[in-house]
Amino acid sequence: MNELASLITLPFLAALIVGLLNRWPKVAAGLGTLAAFGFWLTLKMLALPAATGQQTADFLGQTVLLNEGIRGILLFIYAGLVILFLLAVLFPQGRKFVPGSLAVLGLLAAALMLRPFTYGVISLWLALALVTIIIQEEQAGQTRAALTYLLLMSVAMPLLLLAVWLVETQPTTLVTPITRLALMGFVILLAGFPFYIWVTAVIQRAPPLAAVFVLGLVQLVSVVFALSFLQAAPWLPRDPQFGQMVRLSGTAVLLVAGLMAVTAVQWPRFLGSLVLLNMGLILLTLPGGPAWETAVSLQLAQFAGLLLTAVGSLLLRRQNAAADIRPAGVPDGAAVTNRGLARRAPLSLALYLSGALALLGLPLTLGFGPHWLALRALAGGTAVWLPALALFATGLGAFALFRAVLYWLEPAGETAVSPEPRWLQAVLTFLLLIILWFSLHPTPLLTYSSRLAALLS
Amino acid sequence: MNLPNIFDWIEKFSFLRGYPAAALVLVTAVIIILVWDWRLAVFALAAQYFAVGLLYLDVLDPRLSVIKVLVGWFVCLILYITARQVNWGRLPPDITPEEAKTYRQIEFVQLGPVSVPKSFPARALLVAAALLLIIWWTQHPASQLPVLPETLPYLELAINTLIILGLLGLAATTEPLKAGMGLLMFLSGFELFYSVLEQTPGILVLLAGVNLLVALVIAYLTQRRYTAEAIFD
Repeated sequence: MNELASLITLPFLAALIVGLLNRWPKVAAGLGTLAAFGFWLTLKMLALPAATGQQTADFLGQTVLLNEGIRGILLFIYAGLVILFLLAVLFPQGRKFVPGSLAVLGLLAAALMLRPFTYGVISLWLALALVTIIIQEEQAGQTRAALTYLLLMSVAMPLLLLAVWLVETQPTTLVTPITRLALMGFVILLAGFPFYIWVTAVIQRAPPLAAVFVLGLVQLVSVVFALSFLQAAPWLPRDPQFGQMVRLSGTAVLLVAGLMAVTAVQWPRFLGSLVLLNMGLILLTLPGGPAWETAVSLQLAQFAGLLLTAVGSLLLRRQNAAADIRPAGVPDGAAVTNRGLARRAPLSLALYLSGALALLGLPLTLGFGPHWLALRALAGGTAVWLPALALFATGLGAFALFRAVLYWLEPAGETAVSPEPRWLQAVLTFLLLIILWFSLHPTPLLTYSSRLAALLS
Repeated sequence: MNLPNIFDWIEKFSFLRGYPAAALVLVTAVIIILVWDWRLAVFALAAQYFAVGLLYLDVLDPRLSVIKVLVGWFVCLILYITARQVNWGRLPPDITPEEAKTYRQIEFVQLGPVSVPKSFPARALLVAAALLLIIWWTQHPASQLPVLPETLPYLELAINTLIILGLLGLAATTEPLKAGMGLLMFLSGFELFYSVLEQTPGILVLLAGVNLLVALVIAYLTQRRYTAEAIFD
């Protein structure tokens, strides 16, 4: 079997083996880590012909293509999965997470590499359908989030198939109402208004690391897909009505995100608002042509921010923390509240906050670079009020975060939150120093994302 | 003895081709959304796949049309087995009266001589509105679907029915099995339209894979929805 085909098939084999061991989630996560690292190493060592810069092969009668851009994205996804699976050894996420993610990995590789584009869209569709099981993760009775995700993705993907067919067969520059309807698929996929509900559902219901996988890594492929499609049909994003539709949808998402942030009383909803803020900005970069660097760097910041908040919240949960960010978020009769949390578990909370700040994109945080790029892109567009609106939504998010920090800093009497052990404090201090260094010196991260964007475009 | 082949079967059912098949699609779609008995809904879905298969005969090779029907019936089989495993969404038979108190059953209201679920009147109104929309949409020249052969007007009726009632079906409930049936209807409508545009066998195979995977995911969600700990939590 050639190497390119093995990137599609071997993850399924790995998923099968890991799935047989999922009675022991820590062993399964360890094996998954090894498998994901193996894929990363295989791809890293794969030499692409210097003359063409790409390699093709035959897979079930279709062409698979690997170029530097696709390789860059796959390497990032594999590396991300290594981190997530390692964390799953420490914080088991359930029996479906590791084997399910490995199976999705094979389909994502197929989605990126299969040609023509139509086959890629259907592979992505299969991947997104399978993601539903990871979101559900055997939670008894709680099917609404997974169902919402499945339904919205399964409505979006046929529209994308239609859009691909229209672009490949219709005369160029002809944008019909049907084309615009088909492009709604991208609005659903990128969580435009009013279809953003799948994002909040995933964050509220999926296990934390599964949410990072879905909204950080799988979503990266969706973003790359949308940008590749718009690049292949450059007249589409310049269509005034499409631009208006996307701008309206993105604007509404920013407003919803801001309002959600100030009204949130528990952190899943608050985190959902921050992710929506980021995704709204990605959506707003689409009109006028694909802004690869901005969109890709925003998506990478989303992965980093979600990862930090997930680890922070998992550590806090282990220390018996609740989920309230305001007094109103404390359930009636609850014995545990987060009042005074910052005094009992300051470093775990700082990790969570560093992720939240990265998603907000405030200065001197990991997410500032991508958000600055987005603001500059919006300022260069026709709607001059858009950057102001983005800043307003960010301001609402920052206000909500500041208010939560004040609540967490309040002195508390008796609390069930256990203090952090010394070794954890040492590890977290080291981690926070690294985050601080990257926040103060964002050039390496921005260079990485702009290089990836350049390869893809 | 000569066993009938697929062409003989197609010939036997030729009286159902065209408008009768489109009408069957419409009737079964309304049944799937309105009836609360899962057995009847799964049976209606199987009948709908058969009717859609008859419509495929106008755009695809007959052998491929038969495969489409078989995939649809396989999807129905998955849903049927799942629905049986969760006792058709009703209370498990071996439950004690004390345990039953915690279970939230469908609430019924008396509507004349029959008792119907509380949500039935609203659902019926929505279906009526959707049917009006389908009729208007199908007859309005400006909203006609492109590339559909003008000689096959019933195709448009069937596609509009499947897509509009499918979307209604998936939006009208939070039950995974019933919402899933709405989604499968929507996918049927899309595939019927898409098969006019694209007839590559590879694509048809992948779309069959999508249908089966979606059915499996719906089955999984239904199982989790009706697992014992969910019922008595």
